[in-house]
Amino acid sequence: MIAAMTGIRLEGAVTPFDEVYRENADSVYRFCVSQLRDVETAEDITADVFAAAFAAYDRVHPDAAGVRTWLFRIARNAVIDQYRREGRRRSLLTRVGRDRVFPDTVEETAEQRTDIRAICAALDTLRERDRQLVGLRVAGGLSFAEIATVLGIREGAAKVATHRALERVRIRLREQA
Amino acid sequence: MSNHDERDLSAAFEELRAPASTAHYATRSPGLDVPSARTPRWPQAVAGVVAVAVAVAGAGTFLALRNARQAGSTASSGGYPQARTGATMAFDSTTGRTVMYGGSAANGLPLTDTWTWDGTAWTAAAKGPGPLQDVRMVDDAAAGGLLLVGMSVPADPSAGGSYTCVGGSASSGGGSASTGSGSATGAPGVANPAIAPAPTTPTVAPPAQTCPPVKPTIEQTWIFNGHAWKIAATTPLESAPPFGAQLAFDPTTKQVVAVSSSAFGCGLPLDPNSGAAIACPMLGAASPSSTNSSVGAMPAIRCAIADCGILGARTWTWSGRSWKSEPATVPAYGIMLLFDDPATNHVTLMTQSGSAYGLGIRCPVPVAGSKSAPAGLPYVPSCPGTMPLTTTWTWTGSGWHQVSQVPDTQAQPPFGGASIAAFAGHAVVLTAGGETWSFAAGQWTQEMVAGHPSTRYGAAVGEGPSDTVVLFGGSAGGFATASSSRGSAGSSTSSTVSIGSDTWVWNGIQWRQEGGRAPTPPPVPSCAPLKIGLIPPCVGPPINVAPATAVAPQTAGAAPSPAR
Repeated sequence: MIAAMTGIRLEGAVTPFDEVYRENADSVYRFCVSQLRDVETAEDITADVFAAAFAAYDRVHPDAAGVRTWLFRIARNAVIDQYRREGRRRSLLTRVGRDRVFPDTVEETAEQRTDIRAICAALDTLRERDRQLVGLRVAGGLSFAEIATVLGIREGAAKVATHRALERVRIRLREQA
Repeated sequence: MSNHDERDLSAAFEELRAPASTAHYATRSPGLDVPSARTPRWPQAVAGVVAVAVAVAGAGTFLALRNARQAGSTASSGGYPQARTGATMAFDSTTGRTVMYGGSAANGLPLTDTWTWDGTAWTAAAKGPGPLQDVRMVDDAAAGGLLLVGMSVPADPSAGGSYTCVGGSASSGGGSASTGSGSATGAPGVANPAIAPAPTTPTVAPPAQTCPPVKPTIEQTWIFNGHAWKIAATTPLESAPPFGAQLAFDPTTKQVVAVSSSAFGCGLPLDPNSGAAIACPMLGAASPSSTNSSVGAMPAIRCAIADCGILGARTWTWSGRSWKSEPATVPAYGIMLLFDDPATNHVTLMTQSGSAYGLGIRCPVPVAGSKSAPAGLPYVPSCPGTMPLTTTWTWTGSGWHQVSQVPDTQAQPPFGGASIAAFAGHAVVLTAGGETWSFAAGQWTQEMVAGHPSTRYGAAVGEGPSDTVVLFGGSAGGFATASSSRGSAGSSTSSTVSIGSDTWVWNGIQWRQEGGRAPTPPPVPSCAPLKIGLIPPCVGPPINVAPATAVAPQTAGAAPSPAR
């Protein structure tokens, strides 16, 4: 914990946590946005992910190569829990027209909001596993090997499944257009 | 999708930055479980020793646990549902759990228990209404509860005016409470639903109880609010969705829609002009075990065949207090799938004709195993010229809009005996032959999966928590069919039918069994070549034939093969 808080790199120690945060916060947040379609909830979940990771960092000792996938595993579990809490009610609310992806208070250009809103809307129509695959790939920026680690599947399967999921997104985006 | 498209998608997210609040991790209370960073790897020597020790010492335990599971139990403190077929299942969006009700036990008697599935385990819930036949359930998301429809079970004369029911007993064997008495608040003759304590021991087979007699042919509608059942309507059969109807919730119109087809089943043929039910000479009431709420499943043929073959699917909507027969009918026929289509946000109705089961045809359906019709009634052995078609309709709130009509020679699942669950942007269909199909954006995709639930009918299938599909039980070994004797009374169920207690979960990529025992299909008949080198015709699994008994080739009109 001391090493994590102070950022002092000790011999044999893992990467300081503040560095882990700087390197991964944006991608984890993007992944949460892609999955939850709600920036406020995504912000809360991202904060929870890093708080939990920080608390467990010295105990778990993820190595430099594995810390990224470890964070995304936490994020994925948190997103699933959030879905379970909100249940299908959220899906139904979205489907009956209550879109809450990006309120105007979010400091993004209108064009960016439109793009992300469209992508998130397309993602929201996918099954959970497809949504995770696409989110990890295009929002989280993970490699297929990293996706495979996060989801506990083989890299080849991750690659095939991701491409199929992306194809479904493309179809949905085309339909929306 | 090209890499360029993928880069475009990534670029849309690149400008997003984690808000400053997410950097306060050191002062924020962690509320999440954290997985380990890697899979623990033990030293090989230690692992080897432990593996041998576990293999030796744990073999007995494993076998005991396996046997216990196969007997329909798990280590869960919440118990485990007993084997059943024809149960109904729906996802409760209010509680985030899947609810399963009823069905028939292995002895053919109806079950009245309710179970909930949270994604990992079953828990006994409130005792349900009933006994009811042909139960169907849907998540009425607008009202915040589950809607259950079923027919009250006629009194069994052999039981002295009462009907023997099992399941949901508060005995030491587990299960839920059953008052076995008339209800003060429920429908006449219906047991009072009560909250049941969670069983402390796994449920295997609760002892039978005698239920009060119930009036036959009464359609009951119940609402489950996540904790208890409440009667919502008791109506004559012709005033509610009849036998074989399917239910779905339309998110746009916020209606519960029911569709019944009179094209097969024939239990309640409808007058094509008035839409009213037609009284028909009964060949025999369906046995409880023959009821089957599985979508598209083959119900017992209950009427003289001359009454079958009437076209048209009738539509009903639920007003919150009663069922309303909608004027909209679908001039379609065949086996139906009705589901909440995420792609359209409406209820979608698909009908498929020309299936491998010989159903969905315009001509009268012969009784299985019989080549001829009852005396004086016409018989059409085949339907030449009937084009196999799959027709898709969308519910508009007041009528059906035909979306497409394509030959069912295109890649799509056979609807006969199939089950469907719709969620999260697509629908999943498990066919009677064990194929898994996805339907999204108007397209079918067959999922290539290594393991899947075995061939069966009457499995309860529904949406599960966290974008999954849950399947429970069902029967294998052949259809429950009417007697093949001409004009004889009473239907019979194949003695080779096996009832399952297995739970399966589809996570979008693969099926995973979560315990229980699958229904055991009968042995495949062997077709020993004749001495002259010819192979006799070999049609499907044997019906009412003991294993290892020589099977004579079946002729036209025999039970169809479950494989497409």
